Amino acid sequence: MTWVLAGLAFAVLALAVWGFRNARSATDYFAAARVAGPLLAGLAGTAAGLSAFVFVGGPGLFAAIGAASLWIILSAPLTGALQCWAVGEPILDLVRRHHCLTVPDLLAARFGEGWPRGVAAAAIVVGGVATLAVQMKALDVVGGTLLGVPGWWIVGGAAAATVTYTAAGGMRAGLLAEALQGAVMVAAAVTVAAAALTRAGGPARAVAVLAERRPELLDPWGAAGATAGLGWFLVFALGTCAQPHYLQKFLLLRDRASLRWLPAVLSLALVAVLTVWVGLGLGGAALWAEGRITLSSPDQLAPALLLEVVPPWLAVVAGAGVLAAVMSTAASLLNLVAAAAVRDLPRAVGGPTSERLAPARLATVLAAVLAAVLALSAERSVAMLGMLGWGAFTAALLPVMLVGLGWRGATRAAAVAAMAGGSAVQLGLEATRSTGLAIGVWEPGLSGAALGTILLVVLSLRRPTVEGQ
Amino acid sequence: MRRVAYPAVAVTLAVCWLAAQLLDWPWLAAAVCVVAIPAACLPALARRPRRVATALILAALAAAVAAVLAPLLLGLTGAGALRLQLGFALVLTPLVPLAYAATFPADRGDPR
Repeated sequence: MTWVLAGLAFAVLALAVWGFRNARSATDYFAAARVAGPLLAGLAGTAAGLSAFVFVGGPGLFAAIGAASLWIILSAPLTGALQCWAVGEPILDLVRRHHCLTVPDLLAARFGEGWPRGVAAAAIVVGGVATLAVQMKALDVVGGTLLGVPGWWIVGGAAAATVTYTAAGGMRAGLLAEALQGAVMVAAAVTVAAAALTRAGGPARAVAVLAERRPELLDPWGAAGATAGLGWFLVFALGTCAQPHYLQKFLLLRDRASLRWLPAVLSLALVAVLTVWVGLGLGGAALWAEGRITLSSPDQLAPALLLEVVPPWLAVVAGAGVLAAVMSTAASLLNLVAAAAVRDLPRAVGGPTSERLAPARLATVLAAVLAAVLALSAERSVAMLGMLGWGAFTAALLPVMLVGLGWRGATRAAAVAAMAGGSAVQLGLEATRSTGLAIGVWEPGLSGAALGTILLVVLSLRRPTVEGQ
Repeated sequence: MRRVAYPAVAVTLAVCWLAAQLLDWPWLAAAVCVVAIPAACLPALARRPRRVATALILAALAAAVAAVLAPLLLGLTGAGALRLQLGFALVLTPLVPLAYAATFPADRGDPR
């Protein structure tokens, strides 16, 4: 084990040094020098988009609410093409004309400087730190249970490694690491899912066990009902067009032709990794129903399954998958939060526009510290924290990315109102959820995006301007 | 896209979604899901020479989503429901990216 850890530490340091030497400009640091083709961007996009939420929260959610949880992932086959059709193509058009490096850059290019850039950057900082916290919370859960050590040791180690190469090399180092981590996630997910289902006697037997002992887990809608399930389906389908760690990958592409096969890589890799949700969830829930494993909470399903049921080598494979998921998502988000904090927010208020990378490196470290504090003090489950981050981005950015980029009539003031209004609704609904007040079937992120869309269109039509500027 | 058709569709879907949640009407929520995903891709039609082919693909996408949601809303449950959910994913995983590649407009220049 000591040699493995030493090897990993050496690899991280080597990547950090390589990244530091090769990241000399803002384009290198924030857009990986635009060297990505479809394979690199697709694997990196999948790794960044799929977090520990999938390995830990997803199977746990299946154990808690059964097939109803699948509405979160059922849109996966559609999302790669949906992103390219709806936002990828207009993003590359903006990159060609304005050389955008960040998501707020895109909105500034479309709607003008100032508020559009500032509100988008603020949303990225808030949603980014929340999503980073999910990664650390998941490591806390897995580390504490699987390895029998204090969770914060694992959190600290993984965060230190990710921060080292991300702060040093930005996305120049992050892109390579994420693509490799994406491949590791695919291999780990498929292997672990197959093993879990095999231990449960195969998929058919697992379903039969649940049908006999926990039939409520096979209800496609669960206790929350059909409207709530459909809300998950829609927010995780359309929401992919508003996640900055997905959108960022379009900014790294070397040319427009790379878009053509990007959905194929994204979809195949995505669905391959998501087998872990179904395999661990279905197999683990069946084993739990039979009393072959014991759990103190649904979030413990994945670690308990790996600790008690599968061979030790497979637990190591799964651990590598979780670690890859956490580090890849964290690297992208750290870079996005750093860019928003040191590049976009100062530009939004008319501050200096230095291209120096030292402030971005410092901001990367500070973002990681803030997320760690939030993760270790949060009481919500991994799955619920994951939805908070996803919903924050969806509410703030979906209307401006979909309607704002697709319709020339959208105006600057309306775009700002849409981002601010959508975020306010999402945060308000999340606040009522965390205080225990019933909010029925309201999906916070999608409700915020719906209100933001109405604001964007109605305010734009009320005060139309030339070309929407 | 300069006309108001796209934003009008977007606002209609947003209002319908809020109404579906307010009234807890699953069929209205399902209708929004069926229409919203292809509707998000509408501006892509304007960027393509073969608009009819792209429109047909988007319509097929809507039909596929409807084909999954309707049986479940009509009460299909248990192993059959799970098979339908997972079958939907397995069939569409290769088909949708291929449809994108087949309709990709390749002659629009380099981003740099």
